[in-house]
Amino acid sequence: MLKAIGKFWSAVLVTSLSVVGVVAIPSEQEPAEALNGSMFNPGLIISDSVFYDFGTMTVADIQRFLDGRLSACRAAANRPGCLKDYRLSHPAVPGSPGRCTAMPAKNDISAAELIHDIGRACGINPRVILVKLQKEQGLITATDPSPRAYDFALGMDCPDTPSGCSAASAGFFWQLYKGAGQLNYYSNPAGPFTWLRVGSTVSILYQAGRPECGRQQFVLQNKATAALYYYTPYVPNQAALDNLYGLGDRCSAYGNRNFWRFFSDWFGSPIGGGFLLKAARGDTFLIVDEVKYRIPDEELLASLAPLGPVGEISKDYLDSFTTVGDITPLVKRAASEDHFFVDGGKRIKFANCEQVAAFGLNCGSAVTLTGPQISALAAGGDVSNVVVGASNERYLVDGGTLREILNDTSAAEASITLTGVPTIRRAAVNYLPVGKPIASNGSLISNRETGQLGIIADESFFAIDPDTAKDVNFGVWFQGTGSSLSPQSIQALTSGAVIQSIVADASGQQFLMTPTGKRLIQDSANWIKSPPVLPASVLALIPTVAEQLVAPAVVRSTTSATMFLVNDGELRPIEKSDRKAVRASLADPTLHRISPSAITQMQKGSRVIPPGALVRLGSKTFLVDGLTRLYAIPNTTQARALGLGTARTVTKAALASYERSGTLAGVRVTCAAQPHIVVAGKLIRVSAETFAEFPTKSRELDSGTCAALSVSNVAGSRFIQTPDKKFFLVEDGQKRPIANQRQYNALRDGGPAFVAVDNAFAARLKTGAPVPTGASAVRDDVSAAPVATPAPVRTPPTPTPTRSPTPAATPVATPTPAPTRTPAAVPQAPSTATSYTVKSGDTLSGIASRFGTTATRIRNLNDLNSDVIRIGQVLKLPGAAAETAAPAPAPVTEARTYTIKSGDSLSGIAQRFGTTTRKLMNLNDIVDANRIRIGQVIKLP
Amino acid sequence: MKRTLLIFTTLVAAATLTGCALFYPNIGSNETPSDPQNPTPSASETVEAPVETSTPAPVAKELAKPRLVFYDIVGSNIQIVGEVVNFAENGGECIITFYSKNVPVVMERVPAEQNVSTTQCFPLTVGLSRLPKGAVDVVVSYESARYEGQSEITEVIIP
Repeated sequence: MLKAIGKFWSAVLVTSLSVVGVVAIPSEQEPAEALNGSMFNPGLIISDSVFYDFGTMTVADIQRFLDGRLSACRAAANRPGCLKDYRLSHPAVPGSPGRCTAMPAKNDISAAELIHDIGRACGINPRVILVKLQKEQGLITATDPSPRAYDFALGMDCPDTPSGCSAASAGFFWQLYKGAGQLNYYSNPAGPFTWLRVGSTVSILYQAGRPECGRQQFVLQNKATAALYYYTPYVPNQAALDNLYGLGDRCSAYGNRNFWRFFSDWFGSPIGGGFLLKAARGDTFLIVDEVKYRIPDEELLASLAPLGPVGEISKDYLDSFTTVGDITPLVKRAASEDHFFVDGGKRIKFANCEQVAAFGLNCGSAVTLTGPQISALAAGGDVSNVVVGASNERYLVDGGTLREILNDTSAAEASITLTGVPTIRRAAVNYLPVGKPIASNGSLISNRETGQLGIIADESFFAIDPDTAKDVNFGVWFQGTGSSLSPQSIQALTSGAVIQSIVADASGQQFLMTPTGKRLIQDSANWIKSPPVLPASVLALIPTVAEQLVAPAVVRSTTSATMFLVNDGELRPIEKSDRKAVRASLADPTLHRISPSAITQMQKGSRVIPPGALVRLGSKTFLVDGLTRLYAIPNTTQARALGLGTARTVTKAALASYERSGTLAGVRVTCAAQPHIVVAGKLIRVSAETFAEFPTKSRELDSGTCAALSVSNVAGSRFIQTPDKKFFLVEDGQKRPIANQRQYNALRDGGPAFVAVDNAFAARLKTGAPVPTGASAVRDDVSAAPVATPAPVRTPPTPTPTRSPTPAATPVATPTPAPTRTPAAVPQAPSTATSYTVKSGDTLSGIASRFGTTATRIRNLNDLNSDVIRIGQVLKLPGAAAETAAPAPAPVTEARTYTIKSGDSLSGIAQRFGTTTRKLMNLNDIVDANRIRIGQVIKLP
Repeated sequence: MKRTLLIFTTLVAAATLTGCALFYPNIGSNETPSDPQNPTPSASETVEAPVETSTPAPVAKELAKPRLVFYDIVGSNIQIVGEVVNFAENGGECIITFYSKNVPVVMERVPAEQNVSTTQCFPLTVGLSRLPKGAVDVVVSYESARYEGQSEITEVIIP
């Protein structure tokens, strides 16, 4: 029964309250969650930032709100009408200090406009005024308000006495002007309303005139809430809150409850920001009394969180606070010399202003916080000179900079004392520049963000190429493995070279990094063009291994089967099918295994084509000479003469590492300075004298090329036999017929035998005059000269000084037949003559005849392109030519020494100078034949 | 059914009126404003906000009903705040008197200002050294041209 009655009365109450508009109709801005009494905080009914925000609504906003609150106005004709339609005029008012500013007179304005104007003049949120109008008289939702409801709209100047409200304050304008002004005046410290102190525990009555109902004690949290209690000095009791939209009990008062409820229902939570405020767009500010400080970064804003949430207020209201400047983490307690660093919601105490300065701050610029603000920040201990990062990394705060401490050892080495327990986070001192880290020389560290490894030495950071770091464990040689530094700390160091697998010292000496140490490269220029240069202090910490490297070298990655040749600064792949041929062409075919990163580091060249190979590029054919040279081969006849196989077709890119060095069109080549003639697919070694008698330009071939070509074991001579079994003597670029075998034998006189040539070869030599019968023997002692000996070959008759070269003695001067040009017919020239100065009337052939030689030999000896000579020209003669014209294989010094060049091998040198590797090793105390260096001078036997 | 409807209608009417009085403390009053001397000004002139101040003394002053609304001992001082609950005016004074064993030991005067529906005394701060330790009686009096009266005694313990 009782339950039934209760339900009935509830229904009656709701119905009746709806009629008079007390029950909230759906609001414009619904609360985030359903409103209930437990959400009411008597100490914080509304935030200051909301209460005093005069700029929240325009006139149109207010009008729209009023229209929305009342669907239909039912005012009688003799009544003032509903608020949304209410209009009035008001006089100009000069303003009242601490309450409202002056307002100009206005005629026939809407209630909405007056509410807007009053809000701005009196510094009160129009929403507060609207809620107050509803709370006091129900004016917002009243469908037929009385004249009195307007006259005493805010209950201003209405004592609870029989005489009631004062006529002095009657009227809608005066009620709003005085009432809003009174709300503002409560915050004026010069007035009498200072006794409800913010931050203190206050004791507020539940009900007027019923002291027996008691009081509630709570901490008053802000000025706005105090203003509400000064205006309506009662706090709702639990019964009023339990029945939020209805009645409580006899001790219930509803004024402040309803204020909170209406505001929440209509405009959302009245709890906005406290001391931290911002407009819809722009910066957040800390409000200290009547001024504001811009909070420059999110970190500091987070540290100030205990001061309350950030409230969003109108820009106009925000602008009404004077901006002093930016706030730093340095704050000060009012009326004291206590300076604090604000971090993580705590205040951490500085020892003195010197310590403040070390943090890059100035005691003079500390923001003085109010007592409640300081109290809101928890005490966080004392400031240490060390701050801690998110990864527990430590920084020394020193002279306004942050210096990251790599480890205790580094700090100890730097004689740095770390004071106290770190209380400040690294993030809180982001404003400080990051200085050079405190790290021991030779520390191996990683970049905390990127993982990049590097070495610190000489206050520089040498990053380690990631690929190199995979191949080489630098932690074996450098301390601090596992330590890391921030990117900013690393950036503060001088940036050194990136350590790669091949590095160099300051002199350019290159080293290959290996897991066991650095490997010296004998010929640095042939490996990397611009290697990273490391200081001696870094290189000294890396041991040097015994094995060395020298190019050309065959290398292979430790993780790949691909073989490469390192030569002339390039890394060139070797086709599997060519490996054998390529390695066979090298003096040192040893395969070196090197790290993948070293392979990556080297400049790539085109693949290696085995020396001696014939290649075709388009319509042109080339002989691959050695590792870097190409000779054009003019036709297939020449290719066959050289004994070259089938040409392999290549692309232009495949020849990128090769240099074109002209055409090999003749029959004369040198291999390791030894003269050879090219005959029917073979290279036949001949003496220098014989070589000089053959026609065509000589070309030098690389020893690797020669090794790949077919070289006859039998020395050749000036005698040739054509396929039709005819003998010829080659002289002065011509082939002179020899009458028969007998004459051949006589001329040969036991010397080297003829060379059997093909018709193609024979066709390249013009046929000269037959060799006369009875001509002297042609001695060609090529066999006396060791194949590899670079010593000058013996030459036929040399000029002698006893026979002065006079025109009368010149055979050319007499009309003798051709046989007079045979060696036997040549007059003996002075044996000591080495040169001849051309005189008027001389001809090259005449000089040749005079000194018992040929024009061809003199031409070759003097690099003449034709027989044209000039008066005064000094010509070398064969006597001296033997010394000077023989191609010098290498720079041989007078004391029989040799300076090693790129590409040399000990065995190659030994071969070239007609000795053995062993002899060279013994003579020069060389232990390992593979360890010779470019520039090294060795003695020759 | 008719009876139920009649009861319901009666209750609604009663609740409506009651609700007005409960929820809107100033609604529904028909009293004539007590001070008709300030008619609503026109919009053509600048006027000071009309205030109710004490008028020349009548033969017999009206009764003021002051009371002690707040006291607090902070450090070496005691703060006393009084108010007058039955009118709101400017120009009067509050007199705070401390009695020890019925003997006034301290008496101070502070100005008073109009609040919404009361007259608010400025807070008075008195050094504890001026007061005897132990129980002290406090009385708030009010004087203006129009009103006078005094509060009941409030006992305060001085540490």
